[in-house]
This record gives sequence, C-alpha cells and structure tokens, in this order.
Amino acid sequence: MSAAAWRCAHLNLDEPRLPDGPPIMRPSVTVSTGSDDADFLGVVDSGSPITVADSAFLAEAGIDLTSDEPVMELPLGLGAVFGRVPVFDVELDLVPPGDVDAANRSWLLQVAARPVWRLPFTILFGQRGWFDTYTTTIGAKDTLVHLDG
Amino acid sequence: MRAEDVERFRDRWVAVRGSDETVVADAGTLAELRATLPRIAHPQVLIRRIPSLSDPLFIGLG
Repeated sequence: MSAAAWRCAHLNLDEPRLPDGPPIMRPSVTVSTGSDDADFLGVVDSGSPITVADSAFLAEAGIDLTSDEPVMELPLGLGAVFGRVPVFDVELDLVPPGDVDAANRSWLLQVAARPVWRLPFTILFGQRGWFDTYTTTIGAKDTLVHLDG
Repeated sequence: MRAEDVERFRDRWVAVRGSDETVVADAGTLAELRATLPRIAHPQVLIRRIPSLSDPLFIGLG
C-alpha cells in the first residue's frame, strides 16, 4: 500500500440485517474536530453531491448555528418533507486507521447541517467535501483513501 | 462492540473506548452525549449512534 494512502475497513454499524443476508457494511472513516477526547464516525457516499452532518456535530466543530453566517443554504430532505439547511465551512481532521502510525490530516470542507439525524454515524461525506479532496476507491471490504488527492 | 452492548444501547448515542470497545457514556442525542463527556474521566472515545431495530435502511439522504 502506498504511504500516501490509508486503507479503512468497512464497518458493521449494527444496523438491522437484511432478511437473507450478512451484516450491512459501510465505507467508514474516523474524523476529529480537534477535540482531544473524542473521534467521530463518518460514512463515505460517492452518490451524495454534498457532505451533511448532524447539526450537533457542526456545533462540536466550532460553528454557532444561530449566529455564524452560512456559505449557502440548500434544500434537503428532512424526513418526509424538504427544508432548507445551512452549509458552513468547517475544518476537520482525518484520523488514520488503527494500523497506521501517522498524524491526523486536516482539511477544510463545506458541511450542511441537518437538524434531524438518526443515522448510526455523525457525518456523511459526499462529492463536495470528500471526493474533491481525496481520491477514494471503495472496494468490497475496504476503502482506500489517497491522501495526495 | 459486544453484542449485548449493541442490544442494550440501541437507539442511543454512545461513546466507545477504543481499547476494549466498552461504552463509557450514552445519551439520547449527540448534543447530550457531548455535554456528559467532560463530566466523567475517560480515555479517547469514538462517538456513534446504535440504530434502532426499526430504523429504515439508509440508502441516501432523501
């Protein structure tokens, strides 16, 4: 494996199994807001045009949802209805997989804040915010993240 | 995570210690969990939500 790529194993996020199949495995990465006590789980989704997170995660990343000016607003499905959600510039750290001895890597991205969030991870990484920074190969069992773009 | 912990903490946000996957704190929302963590001594944790058994299959933000 290239030193400039991290291989992240897909994770079973303990979702209900398909009736006839094995556990659902998600292409997952670990990120940090710079806090020294907690990391967060993200899922990589090449089909999503944007990156979206739980609003509480944006607050964790230092965004004041009531006073900070969003970069833009987007229409987004919120349960059964559509609503407009704000998008903010956020700096995150990508945390290396457990078998890699390396420092976190910071990058700046735009993240939409979704107030309704019941997913088994904290942030969904899409084309803007993830794939525009990291060339990523999603295989059957793991995700290869190229750190040099 | 251990299977018994998964069932115990379904529909909850959890902070999981990396060394042995022990749940060190849980709450109903991410914000509540983050408010709890500074009040307890804990090592580096991974924060995630354990889905409910009735959660629909996620195939995108629709």
